[in-house]
Amino acid sequence: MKQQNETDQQIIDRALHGGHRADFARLVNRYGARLFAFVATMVTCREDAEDLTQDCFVKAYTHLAQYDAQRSSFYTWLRRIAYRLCLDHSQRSPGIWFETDELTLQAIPDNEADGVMETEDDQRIRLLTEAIQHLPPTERLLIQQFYFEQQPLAVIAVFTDTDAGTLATRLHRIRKKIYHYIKSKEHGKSSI
Amino acid sequence: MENHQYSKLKAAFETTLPQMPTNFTDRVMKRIEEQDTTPQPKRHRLWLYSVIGAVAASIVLLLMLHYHDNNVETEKNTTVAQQTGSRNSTIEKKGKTPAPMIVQEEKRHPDRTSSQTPLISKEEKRHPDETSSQAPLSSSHEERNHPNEASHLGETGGGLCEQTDMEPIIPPKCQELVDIYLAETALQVAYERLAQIDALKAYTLSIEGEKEPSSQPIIAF
Repeated sequence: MKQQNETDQQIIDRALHGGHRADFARLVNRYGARLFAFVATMVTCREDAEDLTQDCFVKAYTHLAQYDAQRSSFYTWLRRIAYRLCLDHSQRSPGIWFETDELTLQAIPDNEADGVMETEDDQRIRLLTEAIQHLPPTERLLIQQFYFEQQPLAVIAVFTDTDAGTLATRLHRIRKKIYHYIKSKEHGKSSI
Repeated sequence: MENHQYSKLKAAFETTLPQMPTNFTDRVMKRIEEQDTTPQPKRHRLWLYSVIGAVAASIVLLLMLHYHDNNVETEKNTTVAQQTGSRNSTIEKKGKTPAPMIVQEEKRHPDRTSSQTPLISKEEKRHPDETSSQAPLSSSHEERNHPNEASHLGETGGGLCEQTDMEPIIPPKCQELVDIYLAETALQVAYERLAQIDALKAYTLSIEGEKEPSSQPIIAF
């Protein structure tokens, strides 16, 4: 029970100074599932996602001494490592994603696009899920972190090395893309 | 309301994600053990010192190279200036030497010079006393009278004949360029002297009212 309440920093200190790998295993247990979901959002292949998540933890263990609790939480630090690994992986094996030209995006009304995520309709949710799946990895991750993980843009900005303003603009564009995807599906057109 | 909406959407999205393996933690720890990975100590200070050291070393190296280049450049300039200056002074001292190669030849064969040099006209050969007093081209007289003068001048830095003394100073790559430069300078000086002599002769003849011999050239190359 006492061990369950230990902070990340305490576990890290013991892993560093005590040299016990079992202490680090507790951190893997704590963040493994969330980090795997994070990686799997960017890398859809299961084997690749598992390898990358393992790589992330091995890298984190190797550079554990460089973690600074004053700068970010341990999970944010893990996400930062995982994000870079996933970006490298995406660049090595690029996929085909849903893209919309700039003119089409500008023609979409802002108020309609902003409310695209707010729905209870099952059919609409199915289309939304499909649209998110067809987004590029970084955009998919932004939607997942902001809407599903409820992460503030300031935190997302830390591990993506971007500023929150840029992320807000990007999020706005992504909503328009999703809106365009859903509309084109509803009208029986496919822009993919 | 909003969270509920997103949770429904989140649940729908998560069904599309691959499932995490059950023994994921064991796999990670097994991999860490297999690689025998240990946490590395902080190295940012070491990096900092390395970078500072590298920058300092680069600056020192650049400064050294800069001074070295300046020294080499100064040596080159000094050498060229010395050779040019001494060459001119040699020619002025001798007063009759048209080209440095001839001086060298005269130095090697001091006895043959007066009879073999092509620079002296027939008239001058016929009247050696007159030539020596009037024509400044016949340097062989002086060479004959003072056979060690060339070497003496060479020691003080005169002409190509003493380039062997300068060889340690001039880099081998520049030697040919220096030779060409000196030869050209010497020729230029010689032609200027010849022109002066011609003018003097013409002036002398005009004063004396005599005609200048037209058929015999002064210089025969």
